[in-house]
Parts: sequence; structure tokens; C-alpha cells
Amino acid sequence: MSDNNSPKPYQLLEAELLPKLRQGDKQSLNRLVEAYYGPMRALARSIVGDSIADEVVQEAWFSVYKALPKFEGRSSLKTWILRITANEAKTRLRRESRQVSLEAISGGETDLLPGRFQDDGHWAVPPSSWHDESPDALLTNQEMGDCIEWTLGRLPENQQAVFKLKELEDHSFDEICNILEISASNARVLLHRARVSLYGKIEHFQESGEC
Amino acid sequence: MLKCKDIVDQASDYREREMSFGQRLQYRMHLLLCHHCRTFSRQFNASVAMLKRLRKREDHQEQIEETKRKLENL
Repeated sequence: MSDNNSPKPYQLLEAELLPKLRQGDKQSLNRLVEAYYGPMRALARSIVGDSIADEVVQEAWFSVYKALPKFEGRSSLKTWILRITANEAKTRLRRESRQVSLEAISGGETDLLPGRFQDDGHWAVPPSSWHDESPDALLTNQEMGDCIEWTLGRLPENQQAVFKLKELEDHSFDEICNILEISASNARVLLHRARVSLYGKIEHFQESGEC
Repeated sequence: MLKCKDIVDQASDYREREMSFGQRLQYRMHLLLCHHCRTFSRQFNASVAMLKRLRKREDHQEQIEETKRKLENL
């Protein structure tokens, strides 16, 4: 059983690196790049798309480098860096005159699992039975894993961003609100929408064997 | 009385205990009485547990090295 009070690996890394980073130590900065490039790219990709995600991450690193001496430690370094990344991504979208509102709940009026319920709110098309419902069994299916990643990449950007931060990077809702500058209630709604969409895809795959 | 659609809408709140005692009781009552929603709830929880373990199988080493080089030259 995991202990929620024990420090996460990134917290241990930050405790070790932060004093050296404040002194401008480039080796420590390199270790930070190694550790956080992946999460930064995943977040940038969910906001700006795949093609310019790396450019956004590089811009974010320049901003991080410039701002490091001013880092006050009010959040973890990782949360702070991811917030800078989200801001760089939003700035980039704005520059390209694309929509930037992570706060808006995309598809807010649409039903979860559309077409599955009668007007009275009971199941019209109930869940089908699956061969094996254990997470381990679901994980072993490589084709389904690919299908889920494909589906995840097509969710609305704000759902992707919250889902990746919460489920893949294990951030708390407080941290997510801080990084994306959205309210806790919206973060919860966005996460739930992403989960139900992905559940729907898993169910479809279980039934048809196709993505 | 909750409807099946409410069970889907509130599944994450139930899972993460973001409900009052009364709401939770109503949710459990519905699950007790509704076979389809029990199936949904079981599968939804399995899906979330599985999704948490998804990790992107991406290799960014080239971009990491490029970023390090650029930062080195600042």
C-alpha cells in the first residue's frame, strides 16, 4: 500500500537540485530538462497539438531559465515549470489567433455516452459484458492501448490537459488548477468527461475488436 | 431517486468520494438495485485504473539534447 505522505520522486529530485539551480549550475539544469521534458511536452501537445509542441517546450525552457532566480518556492518546481509551459502554449495559440480557453468546458451541453439513455434517464443500450474486466487484462491488449492513445489525442484540448496531468502525471487538483488556471470544479468535470469518453472507447473495442 | 444517467454523470465523484453521505447512500442504493449500473460501475473503475497506468511510450532524447545544448549556450 502506498503512503500518501511519502515524498514523490520529483520532490526528492527538486530538493537535491534547487540549491544548485539557484547558483546557476548547468548540470543541474540538464538533469531538470531530462526529468521534465516529457511531462512538459505532453502538456504542450494537449494545448497546441503535436506539430509545434517541441517549439513550445523549448520556449518554456528559456523562460524557466530566465525566471529561475526569481522562483519563490510557493509551489513545487514541477508545478511552476508546467504552468510556464501552459502559458507559453496559450500565448502561442493566441499569436496564431486560435481559441484559447482551457476554462471553457468544451461540449458542456452534450450528454456523456450519447444515445445510450432513454428520455427517462434509464439505459437504452446498457453496458455489454467484457471478456475480462481487470485493469491488468485491459493493459495487455496492445491494439487497445494504441486505440486509447489515439482517442486521447482527439479529446478537446482542455480535457486532454487535465487528464494527462491527473492520471498520467499524478498531480493533485490543486496543482492542476494552478498550472492551467482553471477552477477545481471545472477540472473535475473535464477529467470525468475524458474518463467517460475513454471508457466508451474501451467498451467499443471490447465489443467490436476495432478502434 | 437517481437515474442510470446520473450514475454515469457522477461516477468520478463517487469514485473519489466527492459526495455527501446522503448522496453516496443514494448512489449505492441505485447500484444495489440496478444490474446494468453495477456493470457500468465495475467497468468504469477498471478503465480508470487501467488508464492511470498508461504511459506515453515516447522518446524525446533528441529534443532533450537539443534543449540542453541551447541552454548551455545562453
